[in-house]
Amino acid sequence: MTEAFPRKPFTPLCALLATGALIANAAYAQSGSEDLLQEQGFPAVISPARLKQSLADVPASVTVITADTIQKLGITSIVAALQLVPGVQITQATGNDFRVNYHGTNIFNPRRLNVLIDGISVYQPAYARVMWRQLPVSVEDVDRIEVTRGPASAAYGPNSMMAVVNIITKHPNDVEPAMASGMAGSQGSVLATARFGTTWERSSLRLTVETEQDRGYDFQSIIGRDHDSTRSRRLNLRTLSELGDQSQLDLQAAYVEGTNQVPFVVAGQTSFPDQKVRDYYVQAAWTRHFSADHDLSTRVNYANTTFFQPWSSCAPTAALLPQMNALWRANPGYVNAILAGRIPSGGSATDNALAAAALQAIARLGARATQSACGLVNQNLRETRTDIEVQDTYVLSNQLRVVSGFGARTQRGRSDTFFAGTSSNRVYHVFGNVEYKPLKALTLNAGGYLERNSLSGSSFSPRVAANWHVSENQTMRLVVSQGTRTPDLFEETAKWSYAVAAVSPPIDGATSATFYQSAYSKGGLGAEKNLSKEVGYLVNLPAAGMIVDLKVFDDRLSSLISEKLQVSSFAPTNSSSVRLRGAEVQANFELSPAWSGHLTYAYLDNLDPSSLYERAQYSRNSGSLSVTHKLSDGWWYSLAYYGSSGDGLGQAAYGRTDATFGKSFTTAGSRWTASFMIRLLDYRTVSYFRDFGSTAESRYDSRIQMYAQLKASF
Amino acid sequence: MPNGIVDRRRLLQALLLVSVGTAGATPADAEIRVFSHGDSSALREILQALGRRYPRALIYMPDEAPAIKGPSINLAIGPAALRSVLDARRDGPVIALFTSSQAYRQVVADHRPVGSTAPVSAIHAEAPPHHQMELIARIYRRRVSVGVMLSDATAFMASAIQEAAGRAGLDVVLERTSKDAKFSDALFRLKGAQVVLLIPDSSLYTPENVRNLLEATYRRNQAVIGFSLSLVNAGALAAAYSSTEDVLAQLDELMGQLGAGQVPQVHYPRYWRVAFNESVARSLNIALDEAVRLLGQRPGG
Repeated sequence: MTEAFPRKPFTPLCALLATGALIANAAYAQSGSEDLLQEQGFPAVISPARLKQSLADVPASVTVITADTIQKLGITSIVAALQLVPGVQITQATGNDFRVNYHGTNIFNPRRLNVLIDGISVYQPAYARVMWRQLPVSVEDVDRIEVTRGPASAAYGPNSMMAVVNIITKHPNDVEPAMASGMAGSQGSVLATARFGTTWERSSLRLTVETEQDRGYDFQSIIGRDHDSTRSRRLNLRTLSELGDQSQLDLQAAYVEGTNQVPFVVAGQTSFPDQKVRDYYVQAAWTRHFSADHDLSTRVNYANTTFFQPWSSCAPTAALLPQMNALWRANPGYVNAILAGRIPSGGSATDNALAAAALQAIARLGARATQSACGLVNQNLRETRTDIEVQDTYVLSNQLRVVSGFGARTQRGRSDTFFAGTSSNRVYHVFGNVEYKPLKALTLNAGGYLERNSLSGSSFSPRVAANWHVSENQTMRLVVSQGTRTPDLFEETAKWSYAVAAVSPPIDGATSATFYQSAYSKGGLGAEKNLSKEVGYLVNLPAAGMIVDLKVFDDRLSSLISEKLQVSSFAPTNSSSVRLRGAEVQANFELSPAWSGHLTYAYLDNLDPSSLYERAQYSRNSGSLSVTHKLSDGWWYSLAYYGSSGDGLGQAAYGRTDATFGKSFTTAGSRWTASFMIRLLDYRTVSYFRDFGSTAESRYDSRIQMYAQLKASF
Repeated sequence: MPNGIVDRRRLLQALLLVSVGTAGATPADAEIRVFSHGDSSALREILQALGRRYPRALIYMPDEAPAIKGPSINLAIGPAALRSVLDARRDGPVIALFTSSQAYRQVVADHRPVGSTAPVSAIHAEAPPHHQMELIARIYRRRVSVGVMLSDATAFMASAIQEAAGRAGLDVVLERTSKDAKFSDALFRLKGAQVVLLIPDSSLYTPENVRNLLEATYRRNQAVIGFSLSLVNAGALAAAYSSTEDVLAQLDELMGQLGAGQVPQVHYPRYWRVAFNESVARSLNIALDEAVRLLGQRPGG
C-alpha cells in the first residue's frame, strides 16, 4: 500500500488567471496555435491521489536513503545501505548469510522484517527469509530505500511485524540511455553492471544486467577455514506505458541466479553444502486515474525461487536404518538412548516393539553399525508465490483521504526434504487506512489489515496515530500499532527428513536410505505479535537543511516462535515474549549543495525475554555518522562511521570507518564517475550465537579493505 | 466584416464600458487601442481590468482598426496580437503586455518593420530572474542548487540568471538544450539540482513534456519553481508572478512616461507576488513560513 496525501488541488485549470494563461499559452506559439488565449493551460499532474505523504503526516518514523547518498558513501549493496537506519541490526555470519533485524532479537532466521521492491514482497513464503545477496535488483537501479521503523502490518500485512524496507527502483524515464559500472576491491570483490534505457511513443524501458562475486571472509571457525564466497548474476527489466491519459501499465521482470558457498550444515558432511539459486519474478501493475482525487491500482505478481543444495555426507550406518527412522518418529528419546548405548525404557508398547526391531537391525550389522556409510543428501527447495491485489485511493476532501483494498495470495513450497513433497497455503486479505485532518494542526491516521490464512487462521493488524503539528516545522507523533508475523509454511507444515542417495557401501543391498532423524510440525501455530507504542518528534530546520526525527518506543512482542528449529529438535510454539524499549534519533542535513551528512543513534533495552534466543542479536547502542563534501570540478569526499555495541549472546561489537573520494566529469557527451574507498574495520572478527555454549566466528585477515569504482553514462 | 467578429467586438467593448474604476493616467489626447486575439475568460478579465483603468480605451481585432489621425497608443495583449500589430505598421508606440520575454524578443525580431521608428516596449509576462531567485532563497533559507534549462531562444537570459542566483546566495546549474534534443535527457542532467526553475520558452515546453517534467522532478523530490499560476496548479511548488492589476499598475507608469515624452523601456514586472502549491510543499517536506507567503511588491506598497 502506498502512503498518500489527502489535500485537494486548486480550482481546476479551465479558469486561468490572465497572466498564467497568456504566459503558458505563449509556450504554444511554436506549436501553431494562434488563438493562444483559448488554451486551457497545463492539466493537474501532481494530483491529490498521487501525492506522497509528508514526513510530518506519516504515522511512523521513516528513514529514506537516496541513490545520491548510496553513491557518495561508496555503498555497493542494499544490505550495506541499511546500516544507515537507526535500530537495524545486521550480522554478516558468512559472506552470503546476512541476519538482518530491526531491534535485533532472534538471530537464527530473521523473519520479522518485510522487504519490498516497488511494493512487492521478496520475503520468501516457505522458509521465511530474505536472500540479501540475491535480491532481484541492482543497487544501481535503486532510486531510494524507505524504511518504516516500526510495525507496518496495518499497511503491508503480516511479516511487517517490526519494520518494512521498501526498495523503490528508478523509473525507466529517469535513467540514461546507457550506463556501465564496474567495481573491484578487497576479498576478490567484483561488481559489473550495464543498463540501457529508452523511450518510444508513450512507453519507457529500463534493462539492467549485472554480475557480482566476492570471496567473503577469510576464515570461518565453524569449519576452521574459509568457504563462503558468492557469485550472482541478475537481469532486471522494467517498462512503463501510458495507456491513454488515464491509465498506466508497469511491467517488471527479473531473473537472478547465483552460487552461495555454504561452509556448514551438518556434522559428517564430506562436501560443502553450497547453494545454487535460481529465481525469477514477474509483475504487472495497472493504474487507472479516474480523476485527480481517485486512483485504482491492480497488481499481479509471481515469484519463483529455487535452491539446489546437494552435498555428500557420512553417518554411522546404524543411523541410516529404516528401523531407526521409524523409532525416531515414535520416540526420539528411545533413539538417543540406543545411540548412547543404553536400553530405552519408559515408552509405550509400540515404542518398545520399534526399539526391539531397531536393536535387532543394529545387531545384524555387527561392527558395521558404527562404521560410516556415505551418500548424497540435499536441501533442495522451490518456493512460489502468486499474488493479486487491488488498491483504491480516494481523496474525499481536503481533510479526508482513504486508501483501501483487497487481495489474495497462493504460496507453495516444494521440497522432498522439508515437506516430503509440496505444501501450500492460500491467503486472503483486506486493508484500509484513513487519513483525516480535522484541524490544520492535526493529522489522524487509522487503519488495519485483516488476513485470513488457510493454515494459521485469521489475524488483524491495526494502527492508530495522531500527528500534532506544533508549528509549520515541528510535529509530535503518537502511534499505537500491532504488527504480526504469521508462521511460514515450514513452521506450520514441515515434514523434514533427509533422504540419502547413492549410499556407499549399500545397506542390505540398498543404495538409498533415510537419515534416522526427522521432524514433523504439529501445526496449529498462531501469529507472532508486536504491540508497539511510539512517541515521536520531527523538526524541519530549513536554514540548516536539516530534518531531525526522534522517537521513543515500547514494543511488547508476544506469541513468539523462538525455538531453534532443528531436525533433531523441532517444537515450535507461540510461547515466548520479550519487551523492547528505547529511543532513536535520526538527523539528515544539507547545509549547502557542498556539505551534507547524517547522524543516527539508537538505544535499545531488551527486557524480560522469556527465551534467551530473543537476545541473540542485540546491541544496546548503535548508530552511524557521515559527512559528504562536494568540491569544485566534480570532486567529492565522504567519511562515514557505523558501529554497534554487540550485547547479544555471543555477539561481538562492530564498527567500521569508510573514507570515499571521487570525481565526476563530462567528456565527449558522456559522464564519468570514478571513486575509491578505504575501509577500516574496528575488528577483524564477527561473532554470533549458534546455540548455548556455541558461538561461531568469521574473520578477515586484515582490518583494511579497499574498493575502486568507475561508472560511465552515455 | 463578419457578424461574429462584430458581435464579439461589441461584447468586448461593452465589457470595457461597463467596467467602473479609477481611470489611469494617459498621455493627453492619445487614443488607447487595445489589440487582442481570440476570446477566453482570461482575456475578458484583462479587458475588464483595462476598462476600469482606461475607460476611453477601444478594443480592436488586430486587422480591423482604422487608420486615425492623432496620437495613439497600441496595447498588444499576447504574442499573437503583438505580431499582428507590428505587421500592420500601426502608428504610435506599441506596448506588449502579457507576453513572455522570449516570445517578445522573437516576435519583435521577426515582425518589427525594417526602419520603423515607432517605439515598441513591453511589460513581460513572467517575473524576472531575481524575483524567482529571491523566492527560492526565501523558501529554502540556505544555499541550494537551482537547475535551469535554456534553449537558443532563452540563452540571452543566462547571465541575468547567474547574476540573480549569485545575489540570492544560490548555486545555479544551466543546462543548454534545444527543441530538437531529447527533453528527458536535458532534464536528467539536472537531477543533481535541488530546485528546477522554469523559464517560459515556447521552443521547449509543451503540455507533454511539462507533464513529464513535473512527474520526474516530483519522483526525485525536486521542487519546481514555475512561471505561472497554471504551473503551480499543475504541481510546481511555487511561482513568482504578477497579477493583472500588478501589470496594469506598472502600465500606468509607462503611460506617464509616454505622456512626458519619454520612450518607455522594456521591463519585467515591478509588482509581483507569490503562489504556492501547499500540498506539494507539504509532500516535499518543505516548511513555508508566513514571511515567504507575503513575498513580493504590491502596487502602492
